[in-house]
Amino acid sequence: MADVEKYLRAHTLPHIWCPGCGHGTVLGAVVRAVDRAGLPHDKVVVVSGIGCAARGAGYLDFDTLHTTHGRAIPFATGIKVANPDLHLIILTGDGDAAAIGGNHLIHACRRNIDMTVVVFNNNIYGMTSGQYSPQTPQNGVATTAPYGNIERSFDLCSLTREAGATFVARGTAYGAVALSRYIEQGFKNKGFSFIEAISQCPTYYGRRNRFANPVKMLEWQRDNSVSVAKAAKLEPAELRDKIITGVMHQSQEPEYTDLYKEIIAVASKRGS
Amino acid sequence: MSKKPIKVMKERCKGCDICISFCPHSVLTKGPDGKVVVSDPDACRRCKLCEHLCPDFGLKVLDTDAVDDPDEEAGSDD
Amino acid sequence: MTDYKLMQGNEACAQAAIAAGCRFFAGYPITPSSEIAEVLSRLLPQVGGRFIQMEDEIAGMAAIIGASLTGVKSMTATSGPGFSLKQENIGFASLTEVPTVVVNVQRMGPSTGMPTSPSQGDVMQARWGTHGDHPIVVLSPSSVRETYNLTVEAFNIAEELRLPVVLLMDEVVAHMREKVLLPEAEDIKVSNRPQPEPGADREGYLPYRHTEDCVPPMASFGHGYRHHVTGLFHDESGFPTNDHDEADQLMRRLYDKIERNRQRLQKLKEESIEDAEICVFAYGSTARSALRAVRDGRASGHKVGFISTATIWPFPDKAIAAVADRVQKIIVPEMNMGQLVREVQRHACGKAEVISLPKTNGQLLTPDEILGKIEEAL
Repeated sequence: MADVEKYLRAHTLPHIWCPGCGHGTVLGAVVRAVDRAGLPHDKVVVVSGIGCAARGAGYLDFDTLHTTHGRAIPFATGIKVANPDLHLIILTGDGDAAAIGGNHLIHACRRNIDMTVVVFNNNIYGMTSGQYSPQTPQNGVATTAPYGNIERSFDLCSLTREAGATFVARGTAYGAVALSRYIEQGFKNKGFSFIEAISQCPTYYGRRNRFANPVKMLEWQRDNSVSVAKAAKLEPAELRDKIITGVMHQSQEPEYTDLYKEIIAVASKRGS
Repeated sequence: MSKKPIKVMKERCKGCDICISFCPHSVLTKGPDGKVVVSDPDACRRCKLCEHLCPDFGLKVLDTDAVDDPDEEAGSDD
Repeated sequence: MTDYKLMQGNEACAQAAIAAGCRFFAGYPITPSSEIAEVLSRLLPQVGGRFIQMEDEIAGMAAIIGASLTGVKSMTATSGPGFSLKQENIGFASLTEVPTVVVNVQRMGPSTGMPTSPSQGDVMQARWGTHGDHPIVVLSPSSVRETYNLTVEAFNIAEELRLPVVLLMDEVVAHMREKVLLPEAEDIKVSNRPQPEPGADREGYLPYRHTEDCVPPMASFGHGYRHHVTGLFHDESGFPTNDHDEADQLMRRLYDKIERNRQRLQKLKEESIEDAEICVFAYGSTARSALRAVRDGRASGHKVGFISTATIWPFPDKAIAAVADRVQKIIVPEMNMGQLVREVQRHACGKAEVISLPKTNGQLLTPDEILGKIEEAL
């Protein structure tokens, strides 16, 4: 079993996340996945945007880059294309990845560039104290939806799959062990890997939406998770408000930096 | 079984109750300082669920005799 | 082989980037800069470099910062609307001290403007476009050959000072073709960012150390230093801080980076200044017309001099103050409503009358227009 300490910047702990926040659990799943996948310690680069999830980068003992809101993926793209030997892990939140960062998410999927994006989806903008996000359920209450959210959310796993991601999975903080396995599989996939990690924000989303404490939120994750296999046998009505967990999609496609290496080979012969 | 199956890093513990609530064997309780205490060490099966669920990297299950993956326990999907 | 080439300004920029060691470009198509991307998409893989067209301008700026963090010299190119979009990440590069080159080929603005017409409307934006106090260096060429030289310089300055450098071209310089004799590769001086000594103590590495020369050695990602880079204010370790003394120290070091290098950054050209009573101060394409006007003025017996600057920011304040001491009037022709003229006014301190000559219809200022202003001022 992993000794996670070697992947942590111990002097930065305890972290800033609230008591019972799921993000620390998800971060633990990421770190254990790094260990199981045997990623070389000096060749991992963790890139994050802005938000609670993004703070995760600072706590990990790798080369880490904490960028601007929504932009972790293009920063990571530059790193990966410039040095394809590096292993890119992106830590992002539901607002960071799906709102302001949505365009970058779509195009990284399309390119099938080899990196692993973990979305810490807690259905809210936590860092800024509880505004609704593109992942807040309809009727959920938030500081900028005091009468209830009228917007639908969308399924990030479907979106990334359709945009071209070659590994797509969803797990929960409650199912941290399985989540870690999905992330590990993401690392091993040579291409764009997307893992949605359902996390809990007890302080903002939880309190405003009648979850008394973090334990209740994890129980809710446990009680509303349905595996991919089981979901296939259920009616859409039975799946409403459920969390479908498991590997959604896996495929083999040419990876961006590999394709570009071929360009370099062709161009070097042509030009001089 | 070791008398101290779980190491609690109190400086990291935020007293969230998650490990206490989900431990299948009621090994953990909350101490007077609001931090986790291993109050029933003999009941511990070293399933490591607490270690996986802890959001604060505050728990380490000691002695690697334990099952590596508590997949049969709560925490996995089928 | 040395021979003359007929070359477009944008192409000169791309060729110079390669010569300076650029091995990564990320950008987005926009008139009138797209040729830079097109040429580099062809040249970069020939030398083992990499080109990527990103999904938007913001991503282009992000990607070049990422690439630079791996130790690769990187560049992007855009025009006004894209330059506006890039501002947030330009600020990120400034605070995190990541060497990057950002080419902005100015076109008439604001907004969509006149994409195929020149202007110098982004001068102030190049200095202040991103929020907060921040150091930046901005260069502006007047010719195709100067575009080549300044592109190399832009990379060198970015590497030496660890910051974003903006190359402020305009649509005319970018699209015109001139006969140029390019330098041999071995004659091109290329600078590289300071890095930690090989085998240096990784434990003790401070990515943002307040060094004597204000430029901390920069480790590349993937070299085992495992350091943190953030756009939050940080201390020498690179980790975020809210300590006000730390913030003050960082801000002042960032500004000192520029201040202590003013001589190195200054690029002035003068002609007929010694006995001038009126001076024309110009930059970019306008400087070509200004020089012609001054020479015509001299031919007519007017005591008029010419100064141009290739470095827009930091502004050559002392040089301008010295000129203001000696001449009676300074004319500042610009293809904007009067932007850099404000700096001239500020540093002239009333010692010389400063006359703005703005032109903002998407056309170059002509030598006759400038000569007309000189004669009006006599």
